[in-house]
Amino acid sequence: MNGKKSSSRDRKGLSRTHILWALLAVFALSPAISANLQPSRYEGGRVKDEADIEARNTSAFALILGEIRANVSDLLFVKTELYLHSGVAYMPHLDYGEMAQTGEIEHRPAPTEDREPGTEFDFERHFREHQEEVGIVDHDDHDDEHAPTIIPPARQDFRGFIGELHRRVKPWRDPALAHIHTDGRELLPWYRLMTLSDPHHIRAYMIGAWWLKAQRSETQRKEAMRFLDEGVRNNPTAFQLYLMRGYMHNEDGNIELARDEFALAARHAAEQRPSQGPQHRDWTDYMEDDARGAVRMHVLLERELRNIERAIELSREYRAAMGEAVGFLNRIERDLEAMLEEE
Amino acid sequence: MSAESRARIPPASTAITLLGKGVGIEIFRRKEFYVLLFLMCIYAVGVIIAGAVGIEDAATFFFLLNLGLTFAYLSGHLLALLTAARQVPKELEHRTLYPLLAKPVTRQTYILGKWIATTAAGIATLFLLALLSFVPWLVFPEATELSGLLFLQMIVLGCLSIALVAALGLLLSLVVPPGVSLTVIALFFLFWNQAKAFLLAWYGDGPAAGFLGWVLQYIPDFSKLNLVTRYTDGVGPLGASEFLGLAVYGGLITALALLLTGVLFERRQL
Amino acid sequence: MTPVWLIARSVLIEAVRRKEIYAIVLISTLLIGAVMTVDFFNLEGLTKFYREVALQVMSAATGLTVIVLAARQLPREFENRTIYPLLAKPISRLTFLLGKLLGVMLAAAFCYGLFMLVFILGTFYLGGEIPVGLFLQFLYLQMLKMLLLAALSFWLSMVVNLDAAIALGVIFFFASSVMTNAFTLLYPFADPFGQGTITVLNYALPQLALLDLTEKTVHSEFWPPLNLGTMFALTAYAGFYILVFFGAAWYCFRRRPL
Repeated sequence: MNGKKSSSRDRKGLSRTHILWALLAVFALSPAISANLQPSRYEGGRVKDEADIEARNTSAFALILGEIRANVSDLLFVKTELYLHSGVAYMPHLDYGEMAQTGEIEHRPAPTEDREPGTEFDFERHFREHQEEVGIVDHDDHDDEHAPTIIPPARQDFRGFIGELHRRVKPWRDPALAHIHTDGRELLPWYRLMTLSDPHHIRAYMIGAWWLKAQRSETQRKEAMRFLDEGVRNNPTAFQLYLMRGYMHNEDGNIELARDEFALAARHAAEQRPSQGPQHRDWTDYMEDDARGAVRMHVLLERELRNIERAIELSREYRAAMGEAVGFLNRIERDLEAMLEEE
Repeated sequence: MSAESRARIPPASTAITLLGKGVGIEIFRRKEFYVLLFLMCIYAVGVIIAGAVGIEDAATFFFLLNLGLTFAYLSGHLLALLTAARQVPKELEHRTLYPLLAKPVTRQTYILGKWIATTAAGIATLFLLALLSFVPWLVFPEATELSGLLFLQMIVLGCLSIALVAALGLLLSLVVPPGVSLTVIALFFLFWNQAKAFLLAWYGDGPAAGFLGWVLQYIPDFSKLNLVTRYTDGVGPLGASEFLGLAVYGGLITALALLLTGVLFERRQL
Repeated sequence: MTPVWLIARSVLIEAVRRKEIYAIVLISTLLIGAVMTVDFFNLEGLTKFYREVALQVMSAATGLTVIVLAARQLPREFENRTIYPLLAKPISRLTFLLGKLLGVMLAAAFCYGLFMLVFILGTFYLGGEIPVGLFLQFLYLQMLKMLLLAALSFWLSMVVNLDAAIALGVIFFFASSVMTNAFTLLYPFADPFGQGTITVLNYALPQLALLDLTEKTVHSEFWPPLNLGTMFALTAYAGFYILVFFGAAWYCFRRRPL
């Protein structure tokens, strides 16, 4: 009887142990599959869509919630507004697309209008302009100086003495006065954290790299390049990152390296660009501008390296692929053909 | 066990139902559920205000929907975790476990019953609050873009995630104090995905990066089972293989945690 | 020693002995330490980020500690029946409640003191500076906020059960700034009835955002310390609500049958 009892217990124990061991064995091998299960990694989506980020974070509801956000992109949106205005909470008005593309804090030109994408002009001008905004500068010449503050001025506040205390306790400046802008240096840790937690946040790499460059030290310049390298490693098809690397190499005088980067940028851009261009929901004006810049730079650097025939060939290829969007190549191509004839 | 005593053991399902009832009564008695409901009502009031103010665009609507669903998701997990982590310690402290186990209820059944009940409570919270999250539909009918299939996938994986959190809550409560198990699981639930990305980024170029990446996969990553943002992002549903893979991933760790809990509880000196 | 001090000391000793405060400080310090170890592009002197993370974590951790500690003081005395021998002595209920409040505040100060030690060491380690004037005002207002939270938690624990009191205290703590924003932003959209309601709520509900100098302390290079008049007004504002909540808690406690 006792023997039977113990053997039945053994059998029961054995089978449970077997199941446990079997599960442990499967679990031991599970990383091979689980590492590839990444349902949160996908292209596009509203969370990273620039227009959507701006729309939702400027909504009344987002302003009421303050810094309470469910995703890092949105939190960074709020932090950027605060840090660049020395803590004063204005109604959101910074242009993040512009920031990612040129490093400028605000000022919204229409990206595709009357603006030739390209070489020295893009990089140098934008860099100079960015420098003007670095440091503590009072700006009197911005169109959006009168962006209202979230805490209203006394004349518009129904809250009486509570409103007055609120204005004194929180960083606040009369919206009628010029904004005080700081540089993006103190925001860099947020961008670092953001790319660490979401290595596919291309815009964070772009803005972070701009602000690193703006520090104007050799160390930070190298860091900017390393940051971009990391961005490219994590996002091998992000053409804007190749474009930025190209600009940096070009500025350093590494023309061949720059050309290679622009080639990659232009190739990826041409592959990704929808036929409708900026009319397509997922293709912004800034992407269009960057794509045109990449194409232009690639052709121009081939010219600079005296590969005239290759430059003409590329120009034709890009015109065939991108049509009217790269209409400026017609003039360049004519110049190239003239150069070829002269040679 | 003699045939006579075996005959006195009620079916496991009866014992599990009874244990489940006990857990349910406790949840209502401690009013945790009402607090969550109260929070969701605040959310609903907020949405009605948004209706009055006007939701300017689709982006804001999806932002609100995302917040509401995220909140429902967190609440379901929180309730399951809070309830699971204190089941055994509380019964030990109040000495109500001894009469229970003196009755013909096996320890395995006891753990299984507690797990089912806490999981069910979490899932019920998720369902109810997710339903309330859809209040924005009343004021902004732009939801037609959302994928029904992805919604189902989100709910199924969400339920699995709650089951996992409940199993881990029970498991850890056997080895560390309830406060510690609550904190540890909550921190992992909220931040492990980011922490893992940090670690991989730090050692990403090191010689042991591949090994580290492999080892880190052993720690349950709840973010894999959370499809809320994917859903409100308007992205398409998961492919069948990926969805099944995730379901197996969640199920495997849950089963393992549950079995380990059973083994530990069986060996525990009461 | 006065009875108030005796009761306060027992609360403090119990809070310190239970090691919960150490655990909270340790977890928060680990979190802050982890943030400090991240290399931010070899840039030095990036103190805003550190200040913001550290101060937010510390304020949240201390706030939660105070709510939990204060909310469970009275229910536990009833549950464990330890209140009976105490009140059998010649101690009034007001004295008892004041002692409890002082004890909770001493525990909060102890918790915040440990945090400040970590914060100051971290700031010096990072090569940053501490804006002394603003920082002292920040600490003072934080303590006022904790006192308000403690008084509120006492009252809540007298009118609802412990879990609900903690939950409501935590909700209020985290939602208070949302409430302040909501008043300001919704007012222009509301009809006259709505505007009247918002105005009443604006004066009736305590707004913790007014006792939070975190933003100015983070961006301290642009902002001078508050003037004395403002500090006095803030003290009076917080003091009013502290008295109201403490009075309500005392009223409920007096009426509670033993």
